[in-house]
Amino acid sequence: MKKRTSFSIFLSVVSALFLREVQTRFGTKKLGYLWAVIDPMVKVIVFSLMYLAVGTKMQGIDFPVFLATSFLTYNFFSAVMNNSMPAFDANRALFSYKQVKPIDTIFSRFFIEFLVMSATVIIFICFGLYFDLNLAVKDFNLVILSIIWFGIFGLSLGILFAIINTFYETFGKIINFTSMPLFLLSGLLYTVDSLPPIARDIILYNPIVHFIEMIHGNYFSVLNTDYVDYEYMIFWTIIPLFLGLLFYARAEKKIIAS
Amino acid sequence: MIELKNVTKYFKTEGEKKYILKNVTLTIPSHVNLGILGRNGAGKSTLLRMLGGIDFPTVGTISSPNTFSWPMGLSGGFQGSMTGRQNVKFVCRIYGKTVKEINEVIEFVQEFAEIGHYFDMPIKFYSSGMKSRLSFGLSLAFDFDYLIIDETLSVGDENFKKKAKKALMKKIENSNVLLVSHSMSDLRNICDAGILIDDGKIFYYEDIEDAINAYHGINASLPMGQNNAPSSSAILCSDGKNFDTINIAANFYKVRPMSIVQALNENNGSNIYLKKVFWRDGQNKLPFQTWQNTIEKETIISSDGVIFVNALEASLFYMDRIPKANIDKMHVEEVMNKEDGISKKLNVKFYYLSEYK
Repeated sequence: MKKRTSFSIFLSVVSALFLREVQTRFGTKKLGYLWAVIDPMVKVIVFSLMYLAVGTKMQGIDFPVFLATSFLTYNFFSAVMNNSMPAFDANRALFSYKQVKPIDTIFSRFFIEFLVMSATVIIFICFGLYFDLNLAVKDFNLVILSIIWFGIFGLSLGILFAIINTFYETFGKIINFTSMPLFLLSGLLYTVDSLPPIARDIILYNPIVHFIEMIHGNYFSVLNTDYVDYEYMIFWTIIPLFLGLLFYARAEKKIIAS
Repeated sequence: MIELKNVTKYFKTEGEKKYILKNVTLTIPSHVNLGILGRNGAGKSTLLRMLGGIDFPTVGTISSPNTFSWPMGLSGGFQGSMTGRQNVKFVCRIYGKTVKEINEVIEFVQEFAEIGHYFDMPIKFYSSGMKSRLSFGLSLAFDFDYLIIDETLSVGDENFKKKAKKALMKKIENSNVLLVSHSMSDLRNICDAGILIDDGKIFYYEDIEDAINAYHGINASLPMGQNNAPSSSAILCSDGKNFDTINIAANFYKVRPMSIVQALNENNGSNIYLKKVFWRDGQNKLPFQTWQNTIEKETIISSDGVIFVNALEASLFYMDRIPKANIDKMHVEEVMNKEDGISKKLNVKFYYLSEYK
């Protein structure tokens, strides 16, 4: 058999893992993917109705559209980050093949979640058009870039968390704990400038807020990206990625052999 | 070629280190089919996993320029929730096969493994035999330099075993095999050389027969509740000679190593056939004594020095060690009754121990 480069082996393995995950998720539990659409849909409806009842209005924006941009992208990020932790265990049998390395499973989950999000976006666009909502995008390229960057941020946390979780099981539970507070504190339901100054300063410590603001600011013409701190986002992307890869390089053999 | 350099492998359980390999340095030459023997738990499977690249030495390196299959064992290395077909596709993909090649492989494996409609059911519903057949069939679809087989040759019915052997023999024309098996006949037929793993050490034998003998040697020297004599001390004999190992002594007296091992373990060193006493260096020499175990009418002693409880045990012993003689389990009884104990096939004469003087 001819010798292949590391990279081509990596591509073969990630695509094999991707296809297998598509088969198992689509195949056995057909509702699996439907949930990816239903979850954000329900949230959009519920929160839109709540805000309607309270009387909050966002000038110049259809609130459901605002919520959809929040939930779809946040779910993508959150899925990448959270699904990376069980990735090693879920694929353990496949480590019998030396081409399959643990980190390949995290990358393949990233692409799966990206696929899921893309499909869900298309469905939401259809709904949006049907209900005559204002779907206008201010800067499409920057929106796409922001989403991809958001995903990479999730990936870098995912790698780091997956390794920590392998050696300290309670870590995963701690992260699960934070999911509800994070949901409320990530700027999904409101814009940063609508907050009182003290709250604003505190919430800007959450890197997720910057990503969400960046997406909102580039999507909606009435919003802007004034509060987005690109430097902060870069640190939050690169440092976990660096740490994650550093730990991974040392831990890979232990993860395979355990 | 496989190079092991200062390889140490241990597992930490409950704070204690259990050593599988201790500072092993060894080069296994190329183009050799290797049999791997050792007691249960000695580390054969661990060694195979390290050679297959999915486990790593704690200290030291194992290196080889060759390609290795995944270790084929009873679990097969499959993902339980995927079907047989999906698993086959997965393995093909990670090896970079094209879509056309994948379809060819699927056809071949489905036909070879003989698992019927189970091919499209999840692996978790398979018996271990099915998993082994699937894994074996799949490995035949690739060209590895070394095929790693962990005891999976013995699965399947007679027809499958024949088919598998035939396919394996054909593969061996271009590949080599690393085989763990408890079937001595498989090891003899397939392997050229052998390694024995025992107590953290690896012994390499250019001839598989020597490896098998050494394996029987350590197996037989399991104490029946006695102190285990170190296997590295010399063997002394009541006629004044001494020998470095049991094998050398056995060769000298033209008996089977088992004959001397039996004497040492079961009869305080007295070998009935040779009428000599053996003991290990450092232990006490005892006077010659007759066979201390119960002597029934059926107890048999062979002209290569081994004592058997009955003719059936004798037949089974030789069936295992001289498969080429092609005897069955009634053979020794027949020659005792009709040929005065002389077996031409085995080139051995058998006596009833009660009549032996």
